[in-house]
Amino acid sequence: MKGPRGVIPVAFVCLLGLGIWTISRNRPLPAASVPQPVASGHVRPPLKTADDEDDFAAREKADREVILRDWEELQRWLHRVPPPSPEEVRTRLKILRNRWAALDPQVLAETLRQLLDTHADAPTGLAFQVGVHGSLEGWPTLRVFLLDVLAVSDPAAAAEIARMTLEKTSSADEYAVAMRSLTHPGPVRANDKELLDRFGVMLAHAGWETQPGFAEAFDLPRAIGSVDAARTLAAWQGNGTLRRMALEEFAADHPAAMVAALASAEGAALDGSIKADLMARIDPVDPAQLAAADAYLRNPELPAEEAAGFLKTFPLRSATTGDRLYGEAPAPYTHDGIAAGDRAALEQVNRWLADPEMQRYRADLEPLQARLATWVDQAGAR
Amino acid sequence: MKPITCSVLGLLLLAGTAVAVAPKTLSPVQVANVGLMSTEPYRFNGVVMTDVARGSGFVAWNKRTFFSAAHVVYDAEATAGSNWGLPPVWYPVPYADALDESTAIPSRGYYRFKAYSAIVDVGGQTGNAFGKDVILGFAFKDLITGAPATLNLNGYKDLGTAGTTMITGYPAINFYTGLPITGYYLDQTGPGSTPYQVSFGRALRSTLVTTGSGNSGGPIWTQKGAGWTAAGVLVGGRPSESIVYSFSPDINALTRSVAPVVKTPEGSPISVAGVGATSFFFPMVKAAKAIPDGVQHWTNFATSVSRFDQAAVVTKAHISLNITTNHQGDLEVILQGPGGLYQVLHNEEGGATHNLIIDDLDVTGTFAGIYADGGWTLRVQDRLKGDIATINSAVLEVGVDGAVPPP
Repeated sequence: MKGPRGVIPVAFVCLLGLGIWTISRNRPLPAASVPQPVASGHVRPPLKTADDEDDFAAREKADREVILRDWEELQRWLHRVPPPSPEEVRTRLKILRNRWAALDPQVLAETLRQLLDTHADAPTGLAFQVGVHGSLEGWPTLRVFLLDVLAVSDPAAAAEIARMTLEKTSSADEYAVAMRSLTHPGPVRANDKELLDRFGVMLAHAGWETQPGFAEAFDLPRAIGSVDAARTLAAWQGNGTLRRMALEEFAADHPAAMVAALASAEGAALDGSIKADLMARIDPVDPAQLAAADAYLRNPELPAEEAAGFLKTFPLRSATTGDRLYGEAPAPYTHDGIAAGDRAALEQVNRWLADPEMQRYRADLEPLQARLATWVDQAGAR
Repeated sequence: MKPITCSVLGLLLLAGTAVAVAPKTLSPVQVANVGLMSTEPYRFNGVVMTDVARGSGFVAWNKRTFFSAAHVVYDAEATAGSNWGLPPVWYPVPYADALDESTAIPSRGYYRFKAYSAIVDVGGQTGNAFGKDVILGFAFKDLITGAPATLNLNGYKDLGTAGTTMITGYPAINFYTGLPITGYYLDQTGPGSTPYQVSFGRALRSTLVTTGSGNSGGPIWTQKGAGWTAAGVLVGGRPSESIVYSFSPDINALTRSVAPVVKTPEGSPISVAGVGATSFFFPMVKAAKAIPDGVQHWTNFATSVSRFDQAAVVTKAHISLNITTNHQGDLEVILQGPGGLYQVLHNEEGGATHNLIIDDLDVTGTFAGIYADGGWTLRVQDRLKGDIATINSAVLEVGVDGAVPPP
């Protein structure tokens, strides 16, 4: 088909390839329909030959039928009397996710889209729960389950379907899980601006603030990691505990960006105790961050209580963790990183103690010096 | 340091008068003699002290880590100043009227187990002590001589049976009698065989077991043969009740996060089933296979990676593959890791170049930091007709570093 190698044939092939590429990536997906039950016991037919497109189509058809049949059976099973227990539901959905993830990813994505378009749904009795790799361990509804599976299907198709869902859904849980398909690094990852815009839409959505998906989506700024993401968080005037935890996890992973955000109007407006903790998370090994901490402490307008809070925890290496929606569980600190930071911090504290201007902090600096010396000794002894 | 006994969140209903009759519940009793403090499970215990509170804890999973209750060390209600406080100080196995400062080991910090959704829980059941009220503290020095206690990740199931359990710790009061307990003498509540019932999530309760404030953060043990395993953390109680956070695989999120802090020097080999190794190779193609020609659909080669410790994150990911073709430009190849993360390995580049050979391509940048165990899938498409492509081999190399506790 590609014939003799030459400029014209090559150009033709390129054009053809581009055409197919375009068609492939934009081809219409199957129209929405209600899943039809299929005969039980259906087995995927084996491929007879590698290039037998009919067989390939048959395999895809079989994959699609597997998903649709599973979906129908799942809905019937959920409505049985007596209903299955939450643990039975959890087990079945996990099995189903693994089974579907082994099918053709494009067929999976297309079929999930088809199912989502039907708007069929049912509560599962499970609480929203994030598990390892950001995959869910608890799906409050079947649609949330479908969107969770979507993230392990064909990346390009998943991103497209996720965007459609984000535009239409009235569920905070669906919104949060759909965004997962836009956050995976790679060619189809949404850019930071789009992710932050969508996060902003969620923050502004009335009635979502108490939904678990809304809360779990506060992992998104950490996944983005930009100064703007931190500023957006800082500016939000909703649940203060939620905001603080997200700011702290952001600062632990991206201390330099947090320092920049603290210098912004949004950061400056934060409560003093929050600012003290966030500033205490700097990496003292980075001269720029250490200089920011030095300037922070020298600021004559810094309230004494805030300064004391900073000097009590600096360098703050306690943190929250748990399974997160848009990345792995936070693990921002390492043995060697903390040890190097403590050594740099101790040198800085020694300089502060020798500086007449900083004598007003002596009562807090001396215990800090002692703590750091102990930790440096411990780390050095291994 | 002026410790204040930490009251158990919201449930402290002290008996108004002391009772002289035998308690109806299992209640704390001082461990018989100091000689037992070097035996298991007592030797794993200690006092956890912060600048404002006192609690209990136990060394488990790693010699440099201790579990306790979050409400002992983290002040969620702080209206001014830091919620975090100073890193807690660990006092190993006290058995005396007062703490011996010469034995104190300052920790370097702790990880607090928390889900965002617990914060907005309208019922309030996951957001308080009965959610994930547990921390894992870490130090740069061994907190214990000898091996740490073993975690029972099946604790949430085992505690629901009539197996033998026991709570240990340092209560400052006996909730049942209302009598103060002076000094720092390890107490044990049990052994007993009362099944716990689900209170909420992994929080379990028993109405037949009593402890006392100050015991918060102490372990509940499950007996396994002649030994004991740590099945959870005491997080609450009142005169007629004890509540524990029971361990399950969920706790791996804590140990994964702490692992890089307490591991042996970075980059050191990981021990997998007793074999030292930094990486493993996973063949993804078992036999040569022709890729359907000109069909824009993926052919998948899946591998389940399950050789690493739960805490092990990817520090190295390399892929090698060999595809025979007369037209490399037909092919699209991606590698998808656990959770859906992926990298495009080949995107129809190369035009008529023969064969696609990828030799030890470093894809660490995409997959670094994710947990190594899980499903990895190589996906291949031959998008244009006319040249049959056959995948002959594909090998994924996944490496982790020393992110596991020493045995």
